[in-house]
Amino acid sequence: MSRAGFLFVSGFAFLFPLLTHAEQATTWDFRNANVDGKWTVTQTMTATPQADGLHLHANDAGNMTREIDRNSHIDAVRFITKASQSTDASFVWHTDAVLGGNLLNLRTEIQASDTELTTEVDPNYYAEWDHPDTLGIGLPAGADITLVAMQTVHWSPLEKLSEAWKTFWTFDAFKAYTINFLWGPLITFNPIARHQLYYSEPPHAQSANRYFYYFFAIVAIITAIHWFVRGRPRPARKYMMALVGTFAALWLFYDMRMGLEILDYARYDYKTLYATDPANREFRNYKNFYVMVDAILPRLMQEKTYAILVPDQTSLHGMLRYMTMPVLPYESSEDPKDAKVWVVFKMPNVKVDDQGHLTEDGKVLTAPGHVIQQIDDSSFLFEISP
Amino acid sequence: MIFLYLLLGIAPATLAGWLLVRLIEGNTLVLLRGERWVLGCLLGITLTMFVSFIGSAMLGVPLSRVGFLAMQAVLLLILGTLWWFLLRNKEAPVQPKPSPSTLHGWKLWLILALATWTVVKLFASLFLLTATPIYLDDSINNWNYRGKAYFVNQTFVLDVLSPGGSSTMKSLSSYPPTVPMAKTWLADLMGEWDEGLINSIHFVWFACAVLLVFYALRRRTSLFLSLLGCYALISLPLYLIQGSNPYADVFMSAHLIAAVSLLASALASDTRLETKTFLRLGALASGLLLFTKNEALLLYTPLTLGLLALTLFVQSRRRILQTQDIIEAVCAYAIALVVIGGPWIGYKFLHDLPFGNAKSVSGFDVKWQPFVFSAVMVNTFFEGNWLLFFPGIILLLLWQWRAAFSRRLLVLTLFFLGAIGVQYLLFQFTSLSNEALYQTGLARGFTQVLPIGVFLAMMLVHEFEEK
Repeated sequence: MSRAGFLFVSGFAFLFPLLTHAEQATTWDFRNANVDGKWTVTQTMTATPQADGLHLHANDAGNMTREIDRNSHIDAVRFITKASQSTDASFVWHTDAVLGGNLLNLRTEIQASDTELTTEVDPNYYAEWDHPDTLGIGLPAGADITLVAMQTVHWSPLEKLSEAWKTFWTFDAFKAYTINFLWGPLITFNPIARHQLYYSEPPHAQSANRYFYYFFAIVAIITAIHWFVRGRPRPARKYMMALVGTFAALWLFYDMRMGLEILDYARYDYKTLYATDPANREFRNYKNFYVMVDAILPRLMQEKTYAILVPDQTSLHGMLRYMTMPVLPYESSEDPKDAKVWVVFKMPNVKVDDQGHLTEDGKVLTAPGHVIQQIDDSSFLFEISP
Repeated sequence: MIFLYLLLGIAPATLAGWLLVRLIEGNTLVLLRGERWVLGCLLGITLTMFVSFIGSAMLGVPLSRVGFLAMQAVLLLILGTLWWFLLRNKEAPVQPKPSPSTLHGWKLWLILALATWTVVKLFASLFLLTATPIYLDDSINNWNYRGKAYFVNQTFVLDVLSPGGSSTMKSLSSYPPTVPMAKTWLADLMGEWDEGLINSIHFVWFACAVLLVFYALRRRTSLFLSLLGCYALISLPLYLIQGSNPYADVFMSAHLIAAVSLLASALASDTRLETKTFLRLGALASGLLLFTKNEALLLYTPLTLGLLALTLFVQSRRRILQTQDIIEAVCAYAIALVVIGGPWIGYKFLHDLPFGNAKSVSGFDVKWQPFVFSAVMVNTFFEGNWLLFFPGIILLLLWQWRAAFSRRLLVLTLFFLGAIGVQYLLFQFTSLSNEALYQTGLARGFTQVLPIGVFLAMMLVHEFEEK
């Protein structure tokens, strides 16, 4: 066997166990009134085994936990639930590193769903996720859910490597912060973390930059050893060229990654703004705001002023003010006493009551009037009757 | 169509800028032909907006199509007349040419590949800039909003009040009005407020910054390294994002590379006439810098003046400059700063506008701000903003430190390190720390000095290549 062949076979033999070691899941299934293993439920909660799972009701904040082997490999956790309303649950665990026996908790929203819904949690980002000996679910006061099953998941080293590569090529979207910073390539080691990559700020992931630095450092060390072993020849131009070449190659690779992200911004905007039916156009996180603007602008420009109701923490008020200038809206802090027209965008809590008043959470805002343009369920143009 | 209006809009300003630059060069040409046009375009736009500001705020000339055209016509008439009488009939001075340099072999293929990739990215960026709706806060509330306020009112206004009496613009009027006024002019020219057109001007400033890096490098290095410098600057993701959105930091970075590279050339030069010409051009660029953003007055002008003093000192010690030349250079900078900065600063005092960016600079408590260091480290070394630029330039500065602090590169090195250092200290010890902690203003300061950083980095690579 040639030397290359020997290396290939040896390498494959080494990697074979990794290849065969796919996702491993441990499932505690509560269907058919089954309670798998020994679980501890705090006194503030009730747990009732039922056909479709374990019905959990929290009179006050509490949790349900079980002990596990602290040497077991757990990369992520899945909760399969049914719930009549969304719940601010938490994934809880205990490690020896935490004094006093307190449980650590990671907030995990469980969405309302009549059918079985899987909520995935990746605790690897937290330093406190260290050989847990207990884990479970925590619920706030008043919570009422059915826990169908709970699952711990583990992936093989090769799968983790594959996920790291996929995460590296997972792009962020163009957001308001993009003008100030770009997260850049990130690394996570399981599909759950990858799917949730840009849900949080900062993302729960490692910066891939460190791997660029590691790689360059390794090449620099090897080059330096080589130079030293060869008797420190001078000039050392070819050794320096090796380092410059490595740095340039890393730069090009990194540029490809970030350049493709910028192309992806353009691709997404083209797809949602131009390659779609005008009525369904959307723009980034402001959704169909510009569809509404196109529809209502002619009418707004006939007014002396108007009022705006948009979700807080958005720039939509300023956007509309900019677009309708010189017709200016009342600022959100002002009493819009002269406004005959109200712009309502993505405000499900704003309704027109039976008497024709515009109301916000039931509070009357205006004299009676009527909707003159309906954009979607929670967006419309309202005019006060003369 | 918008690009036709854009070209029409920048043409008079570019011609005015070219004439002024050419007049300042006089009988000693120091710029490459293309460089003169690029510098003329950049400085010409700012100059015409400054003249229009003076005309509107002090003489009541409307910010209408006719008003803008009248001010540009007066400027062109004055500069054209001066050029006609001072330079037209003189024997043409020697036009500098770049050192002969061609691309072949692997260098040619590499440049072709990088150019193709870069053009694709530039098209995507141009699409984002000119074909997508307005999105970012500072564009909505400042740059575009103020431009539209001038367009709607046909005059220079400091504030627009809401129907309930709230101020919607006053504090933002502390920013020099060049960017919004350029938008107003383009809208006046077209006769309507077209988002694509008024944003397209940012691509001109972006192109100016890139081309000024190219020409600054080309005067001193090979075509290969000059093109590589352009590629490197465009490849910096946040610089490209800033350049393809209606923000003002790339606009300012173009003025900074102009002012600093001209001063650096003055120190690098070995002849008296060249040094004097570079200093006069540097004075013009430094003066117009004051009409870009507030950082120019508070941060970059003191740094530039310090480096001017160093340049004059070194060049006089080398007997390149005589006492009279030094006086002339100081006068050139003083005149440029006073003529351009004076009216703007006076206007600020008159209308009680703050000297910071929409906030006062007095009343900053000086104390250690926690977590700033780690925020700066993350932004600089562990995000995707700058690829590997900062580790790279640190390694280059350590490796080529003798060259970095040699006369040829001293201005670039000191300015780059000084600007980054002062910005860091401001974040670390003042309430500006929030800008670093929330990563809002942190990268903008770095964006402003990136062309200088790339120019410096490529010069350090050139030093290695030369050995």
